[in-house]
Amino acid sequence: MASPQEIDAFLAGAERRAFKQAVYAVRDHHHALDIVQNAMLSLVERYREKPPEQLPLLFQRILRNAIHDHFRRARVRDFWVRLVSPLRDKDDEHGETLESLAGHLESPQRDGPEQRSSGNEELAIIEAAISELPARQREAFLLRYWEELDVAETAEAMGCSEGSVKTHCFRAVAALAEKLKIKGISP
Amino acid sequence: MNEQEIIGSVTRALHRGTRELDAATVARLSALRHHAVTHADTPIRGGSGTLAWTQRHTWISGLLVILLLFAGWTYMHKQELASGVDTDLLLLTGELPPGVYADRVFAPWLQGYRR
Repeated sequence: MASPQEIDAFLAGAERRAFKQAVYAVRDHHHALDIVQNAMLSLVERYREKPPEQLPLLFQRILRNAIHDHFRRARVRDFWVRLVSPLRDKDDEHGETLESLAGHLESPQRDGPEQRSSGNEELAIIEAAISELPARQREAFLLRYWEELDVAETAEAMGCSEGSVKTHCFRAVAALAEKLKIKGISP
Repeated sequence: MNEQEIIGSVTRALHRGTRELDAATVARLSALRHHAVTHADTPIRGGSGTLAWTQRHTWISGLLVILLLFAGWTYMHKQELASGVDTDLLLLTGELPPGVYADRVFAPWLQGYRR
């Protein structure tokens, strides 16, 4: 069983990456903080009995579910808002979800303050390229190479086969290489 | 640019991004962590209020909904019976308004009602 100190130490090491992962997925600073908060609370409330070595994988699964829940709630909210809103425009009635709207929020002025303050063009380009990846490819790339989970752990966190993880990672790397090449960034 | 170089380049940049998070976000994350760890024994989910209470007491909430539905059904049933008695009284005492007899659907309805 993980002690409160062990959980605190683990979360202290993981919280920034978790926040960034949420930002890459939802592209909203405040929603990302909400997601991380929910993930932290879920980990402590439900899994504090687990041994400390299991926390990283559990936290990744919780975080991923929290991100998916965010989009699910947004879709439901969007549906009801469209249904009852007397001001809805006919042009908007093509099933555009908040998840797809998030894809349009790419201008620098809409990014979170952490991006504005970095002032690093290369970092901004790389982070934008990560955000633009399809969700499964982004998840696989971040879990496998950033969180440094092995293929089996990544597959467990994503709820898919190891073969799928390898495919998603391969495609993510190829897509990133292409995007970075276009932007003139070399390693 | 080979695969490992791309992975290395991207992950190094992402790590740098986490190190360069603004102070307000870092403080907020720290506060969220502190709250989560120190309030582990407190039921935080759902906050306070009626909705949160129903979320925490699912069985009682379900039972209340069933009781409400049953009460509604009983009330409607009694109203229906009372309405039937009123109609009988009006027919027996002949106190229906004259306009009713001119209504084309009244005669077929009365036939069915008598049955």
